[in-house]
Amino acid sequence: MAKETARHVRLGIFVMAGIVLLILGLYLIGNNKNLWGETFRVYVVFRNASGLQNGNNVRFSGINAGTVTNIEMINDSSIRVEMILDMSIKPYLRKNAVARIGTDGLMGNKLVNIEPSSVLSEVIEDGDTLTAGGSTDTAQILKKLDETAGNVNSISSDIKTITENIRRSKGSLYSVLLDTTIASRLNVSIDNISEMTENFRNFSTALADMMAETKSGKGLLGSVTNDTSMLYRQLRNAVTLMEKSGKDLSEVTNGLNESVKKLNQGHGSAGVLLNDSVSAMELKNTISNLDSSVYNFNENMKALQESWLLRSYFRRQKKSN
Amino acid sequence: MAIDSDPNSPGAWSRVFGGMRKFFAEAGDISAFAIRFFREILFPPYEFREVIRQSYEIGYKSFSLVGITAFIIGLVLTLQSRPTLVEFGAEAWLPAMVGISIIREIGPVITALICAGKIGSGIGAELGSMRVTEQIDAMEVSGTNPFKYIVVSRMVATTVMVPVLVILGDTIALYGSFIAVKLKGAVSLKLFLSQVFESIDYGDVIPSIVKSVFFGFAIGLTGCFKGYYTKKGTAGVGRSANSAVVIGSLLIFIIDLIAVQITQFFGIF
Repeated sequence: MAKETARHVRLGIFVMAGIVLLILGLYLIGNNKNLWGETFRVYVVFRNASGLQNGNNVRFSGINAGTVTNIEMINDSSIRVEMILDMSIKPYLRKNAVARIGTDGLMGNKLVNIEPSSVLSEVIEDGDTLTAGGSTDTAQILKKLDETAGNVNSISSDIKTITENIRRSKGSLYSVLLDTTIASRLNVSIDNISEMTENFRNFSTALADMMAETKSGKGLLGSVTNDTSMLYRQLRNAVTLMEKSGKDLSEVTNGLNESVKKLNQGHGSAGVLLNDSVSAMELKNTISNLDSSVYNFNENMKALQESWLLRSYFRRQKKSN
Repeated sequence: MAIDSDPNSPGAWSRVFGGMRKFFAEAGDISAFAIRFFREILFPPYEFREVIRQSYEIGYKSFSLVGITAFIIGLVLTLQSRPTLVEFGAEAWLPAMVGISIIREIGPVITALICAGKIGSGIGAELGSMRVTEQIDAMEVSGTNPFKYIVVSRMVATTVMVPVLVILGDTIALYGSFIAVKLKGAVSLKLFLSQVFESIDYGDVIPSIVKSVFFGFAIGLTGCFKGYYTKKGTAGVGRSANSAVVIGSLLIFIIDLIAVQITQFFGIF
């Protein structure tokens, strides 16, 4: 009898263990689906459910906050998704939060991500409808990735062609990239640059010393720059002289301007000669007449010299000269 | 069954038809046996003490075998699946994947097959021995209903105990899986269980339990049927035990197939 009782006890423990584990498992599953705790309902209307199913998770700022309980089509372009959310997130969920359909990982189940807005709004109420955001569909991401891969392929093909052209042409770019002598020359150049830099550094040091000396009033430049009173006086005299010269030059220029103006207007003999054509013509005639008169006068004088009356006079004159 | 080289010979066809007739006759006998079980279970007297005794023999005494097998299955399944998931960078999916595999399919089927091997053969051999030693006939003569006492109690015990063994086996297999995950990486039991229970649903657990009830019933039915109708002396006892295991295992796979179709039809998975 005692043996039978022990058997019954063992069997009872065995069966109860199975039942307890089953109930515990069912409770944990229900707990994950928010079936036991206090919950509230919210809705969101999407244009495309993107494969969302009843029982999919709902996350609020990355935390599991509830599950999708119902998906129904309300018209040809609107799908209303009903979600039950844990009451503990209600104080933090605002009416302007945005719900998006996403994927758990790259290949995981669909889920609804609720993201809070940066603008403060009223706390959500049971039965409110959230704003729907664009979904991050893996298929779309893969499509874009495929396009990008195509572009990369095209670019790599172009680069390959360019590289082949460079190698085939053996031009300057080839020399820069592949000619080993360029590298040695480059080394020499770098050494020269280094030496030049060293010289420039020395020069800078010397210049800095010189500037220091100048500042302290040493040397010619220092005395010039530092003896401000003498320099100022000399500069002032020079400026005064330049100013005076400029004034004189201006007066001369003004006088010349007036003379030229008068000449242009025909005032004075020169003006008449320059501007009056009649007078110029008369003057020309006069000169011509004068020229012929002089010629005739010379002829007359020659005749006089040859005349017996005055011949002796002219001979005496010649001898005295 | 070997068929003659000439398929048109009357002997070959008669053997094919004979085999088919035998198969359908046996299927009909098993159906009638099952109907008799339901008829007997509804009416008193109820053999509770015998049911409890058989439950202890069938369920409790099979637990160690089921537990060890389940632990190894969970451990090995995880270790074998891990490298593939690691290649895809999806190591974090390991608990969820193993959890679903164990609870939906591997747990119930492996446990049922073990029970078919251990319990089915045991019942077949025990009832066969009782038949060939005329103990069943003696019970009928003494006025006791041997079907109610021997068959109903065993079939009820297998139908109840196999689901319990499946639940315990699933739990142990998940623990084995956790050990395997823990061997390769730092994952806490809480995180492991959280990942497992996040991935499974009532649609995974309830069909699995319902399925295991049918598995238990099938194991009890084949074991009892083959043992109850054992013929041809002690050699028949061995054949009954063997047939109970073979037919029981086959029925488990057929029930599993039907269960998958039903759950998919109702959109539970």
